[in-house]
Amino acid sequence: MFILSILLILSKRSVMPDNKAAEFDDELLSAYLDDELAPEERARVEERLASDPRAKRLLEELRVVSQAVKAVPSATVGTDLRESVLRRAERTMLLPGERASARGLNEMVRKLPFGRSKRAWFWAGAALAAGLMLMFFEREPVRNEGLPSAVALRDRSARLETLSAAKPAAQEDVDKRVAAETAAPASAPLAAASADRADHGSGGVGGSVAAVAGRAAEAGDSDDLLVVRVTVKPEALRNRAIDAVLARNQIEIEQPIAQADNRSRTKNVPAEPQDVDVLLLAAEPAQVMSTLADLDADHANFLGIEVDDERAGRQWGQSAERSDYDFQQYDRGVAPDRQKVEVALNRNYVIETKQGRFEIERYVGREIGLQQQLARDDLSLGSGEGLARRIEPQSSEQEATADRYLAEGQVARSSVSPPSPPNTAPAELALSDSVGSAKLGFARRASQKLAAKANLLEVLFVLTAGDEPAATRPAAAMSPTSPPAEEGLKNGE
Amino acid sequence: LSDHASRDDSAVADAALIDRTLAGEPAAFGELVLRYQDRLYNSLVRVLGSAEDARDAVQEAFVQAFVKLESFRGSSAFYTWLYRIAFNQAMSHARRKRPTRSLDDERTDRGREPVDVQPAPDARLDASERTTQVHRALAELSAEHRQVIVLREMDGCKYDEIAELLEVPVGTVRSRLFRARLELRDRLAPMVEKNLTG
Repeated sequence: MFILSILLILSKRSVMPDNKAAEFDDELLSAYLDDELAPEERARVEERLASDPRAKRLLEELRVVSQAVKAVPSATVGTDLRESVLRRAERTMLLPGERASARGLNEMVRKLPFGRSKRAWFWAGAALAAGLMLMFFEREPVRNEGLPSAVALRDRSARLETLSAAKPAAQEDVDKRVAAETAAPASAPLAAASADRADHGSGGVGGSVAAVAGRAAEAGDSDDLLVVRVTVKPEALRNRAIDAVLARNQIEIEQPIAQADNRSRTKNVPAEPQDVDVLLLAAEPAQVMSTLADLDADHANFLGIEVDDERAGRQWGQSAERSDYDFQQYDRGVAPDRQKVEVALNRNYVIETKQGRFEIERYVGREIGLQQQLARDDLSLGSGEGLARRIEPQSSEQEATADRYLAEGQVARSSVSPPSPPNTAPAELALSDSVGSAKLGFARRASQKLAAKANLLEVLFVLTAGDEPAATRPAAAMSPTSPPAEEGLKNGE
Repeated sequence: LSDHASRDDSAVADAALIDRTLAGEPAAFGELVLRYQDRLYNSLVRVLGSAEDARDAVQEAFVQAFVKLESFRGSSAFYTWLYRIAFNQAMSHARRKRPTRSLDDERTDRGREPVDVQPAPDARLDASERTTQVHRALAELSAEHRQVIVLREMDGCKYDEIAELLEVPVGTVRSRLFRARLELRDRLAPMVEKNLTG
């Protein structure tokens, strides 16, 4: 064996011209190929190549390999991710979920570009709102004093900016949908769908083919809050038209007790018409569904509804329900083939809960469809357990408070105002310390358990004022063969 | 060189977009997404071996980048930072989740890839056959080797850029790349042979 290896070495040496070359590292050839050598290394390689056919061959082999890999066509995502990324980002910042609470909500809030932008105010406020509200829902009963009536939902332009940030992309999406629809076999319901869209489709939400929300049945899923965005006519927003809808669905609206107090504190603030209304709601899935259906039906006041569907997409990506998956893709602007589009058109809002799966088949007839669905699932509408809480926009006085908060680095107290009576725990959250954030995390989980137990669905309604449908509707005018629509279809498959 | 010059330009543009985002203009971040979504996707889809996972990873990376944007110091390029976020999280995700699927899945995903329709049918068949073989060979590499190959050959990164991305010394990049290529050469032996003789 020993002799054999000596022989091997000898034979190898005999091939090599000299000792110096024997130290030649083939690795240099690879780097030579990439033009990543220092001048002296380069010279050595070239010298070597001139005298050693083996090295020359290896270089050629490496070159072929490199070219073969380079020749692989590059893959593209196929869709514009802007909208969904901004959505998800907003959502991540809205919800102090598992990750956030592990890190500490305080840290999360600190990470928001606080004080630097208007946008940050919106998010910070909304995140706190969501966190605090969950506390309240956890606490029973949810009546009365000391509830923070105001959480920083401050600046009008910031909100609009935030909420409309992804609008161009959303519009594109709608265009694709419209085109896909038109491309689908023209049955009567389909045509109706298109017409429906054209009637009130500003922002593409009201008549969107489908807005879907999934809700994981597993407890402990931190992302488990449905976000519903509603575009409302300004006057309907001012008149709080949604209150009537909620009431009709037996969802009780808690009046923020501190409001009077609030008003007295903010006498300097001009009464500006609100252009955002945020409600956090916990209700039975059936109530939520029915509310969505009502909002959807009320074209006069509600211009569009959009249910945050990110989670649904992710969940269904792995689900066995093929048609849902395809439909979901379609909804994201990736059009599946035509038959599947048709399937998709028969669906509307879908929510999955422990109680089962809820959906409203819009074109079957909204009311009837819902009632049938409920009957099928042996459920009745509204047991009166639903509860909604309005999150009030903050006044400028409270902004000042929040500014002070920034200086002092304390989260909870300043964001929650006016000061609560001592016996109401929420204001004592003390989010600024780690104990507090742990507490919040706990509360969040507890609230989920509670919600799961009572089968309540937590929904954050974000209502914003929208333009008159007629004023802003390029989508309706879109010809089905216009370039972006075409592109959408091609990209899809 | 021109590649590098354009990357410098884009660094300036990136910085401006980041500033605008931090100043409260989410749409500016949207521009960053548009800029890098395909580049990142293309890398991740090869490394992860699944179109679905890659798409998720790309989205999630952008979300995380947005959330953490304040902590971006600008000492590295935005893309480098983004890539690290994407890769780290994709890896931890992959560990938790199922084993990665074969790149064959991606291969069937033709619609997403620009298909060249120019060459004669034979040549086209040949090209797609070669692509298939390369995919398969790539999938058989270790994740470490695959990554370095993807960054170099598909993403066109320089050694120092790869070193920064992977947080390893340049020497490691060089040797790793060499070994990865040797392995590919062995796996693609017939193709290599044909190319050298033909």
